Amino acid sequence: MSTERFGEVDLDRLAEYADGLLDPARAAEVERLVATEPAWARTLDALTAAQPRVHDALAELAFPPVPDDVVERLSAAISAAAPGAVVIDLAERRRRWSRVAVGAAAAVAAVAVGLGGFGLLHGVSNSSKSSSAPAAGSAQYGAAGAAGNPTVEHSGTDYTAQTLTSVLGLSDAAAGQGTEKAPPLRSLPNAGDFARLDAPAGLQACLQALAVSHQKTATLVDYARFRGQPALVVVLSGTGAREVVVVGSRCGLPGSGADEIYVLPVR
Amino acid sequence: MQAVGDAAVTDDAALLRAHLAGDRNAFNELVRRHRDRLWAVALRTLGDREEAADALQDALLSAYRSADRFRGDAAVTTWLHRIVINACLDRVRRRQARPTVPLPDSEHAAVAVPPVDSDMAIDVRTALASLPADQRAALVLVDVQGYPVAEVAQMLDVAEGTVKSRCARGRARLATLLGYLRNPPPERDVPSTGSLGERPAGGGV
Repeated sequence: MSTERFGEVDLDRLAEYADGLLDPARAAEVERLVATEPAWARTLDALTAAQPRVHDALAELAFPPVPDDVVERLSAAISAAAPGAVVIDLAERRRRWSRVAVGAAAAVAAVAVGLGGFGLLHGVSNSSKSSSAPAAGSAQYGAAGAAGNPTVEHSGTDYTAQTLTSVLGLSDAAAGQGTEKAPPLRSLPNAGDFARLDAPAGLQACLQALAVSHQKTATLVDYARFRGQPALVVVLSGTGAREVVVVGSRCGLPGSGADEIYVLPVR
Repeated sequence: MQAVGDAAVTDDAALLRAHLAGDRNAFNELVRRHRDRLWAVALRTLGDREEAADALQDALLSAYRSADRFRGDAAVTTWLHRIVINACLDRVRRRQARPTVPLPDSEHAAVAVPPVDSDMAIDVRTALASLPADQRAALVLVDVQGYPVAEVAQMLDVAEGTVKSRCARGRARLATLLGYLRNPPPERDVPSTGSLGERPAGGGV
């Protein structure tokens, strides 16, 4: 360990003595030196006098502003660290309703990494396999639990109120009277928020909330867009007409219910 | 458990729990609350903006990923500070291992005090940057940021006495570098280079 010397004075030792940090034996030793050696006495005085100046000098270093580029960089790094930030392999995609899909929007949604896109839903996604065109009717869908065990899609389709029926492969002639659920000036969701819904636990919480409010179970779920914003499109079936419900990223969060944006009964 | 977006006040521990539960906004909110202070610690410890930004980013990502290992035995902010200061000290030590600029090595060699009078005094940033890393970290946390010694001891994972000792020595060293002490008295019986002084009670540097 280094020994800070100030001329003949052991400055480290003197500093610790001045702050009362030495044990009695070593403190006595320093006291003796201070009493007998003028250099020690002078240095102790100077050190004591300097303390407030050192303190003030250090205090001046407090509160450096965080540069804007650092703020952004940290935010970006944390967002990129979140699970769900995976690159989607376009070759695995099935474009099922290409006649209505807004092609560019779907492609952009597919390629975006992390912030703008949806991760592949591990273990749940079966969009490329067993489900053929769902327009054939509800027999296609498996027996559901309370919340439903739906077919899961990631079409990225940018739906409008008029094109929602296409999630079932139906024309808009099948549409009933839709209901707006969210105030018109809904704050724009952060696309990254959908990673929670993209995970099995988040999706189940959302479907539970929908089952409670509609008394129906989900038979199809499509991670897509609604009026240009990321949204989850859910087809609910049960007693009565089917309903296509568009929900936002807060679906299933405590206090948010199903976060419904639009509800469309379907004949 | 309240979601982060709700208007209710959420304390740091609740934010960390929300983060672990999958809330995508929780960790960002935690960073937003403490970013300024953590930046100050990184910047004053490393003395360089780019290095500080790198270290802070590394530290926050490390905290993000290791949140499940936070045991709740200290405040969340203490835990965050510990991760940041460790990231900074790692960088300092790596720098010291392959110095491009000679830095004080806190392990060996007696440090000769340059004769400094007030004309030659350097500014406090430079002086701080020239302190041994351990003293620098202690002073940044105690004297610059104003954290209590007990909390700093947790951040640095050392005894309180060690924190106080590092602060005392660091302040004295700064006093000389800043020109607040008069010229040193003439040396007598100068010890040979490399000899070690007796360790005082209370621990190391």
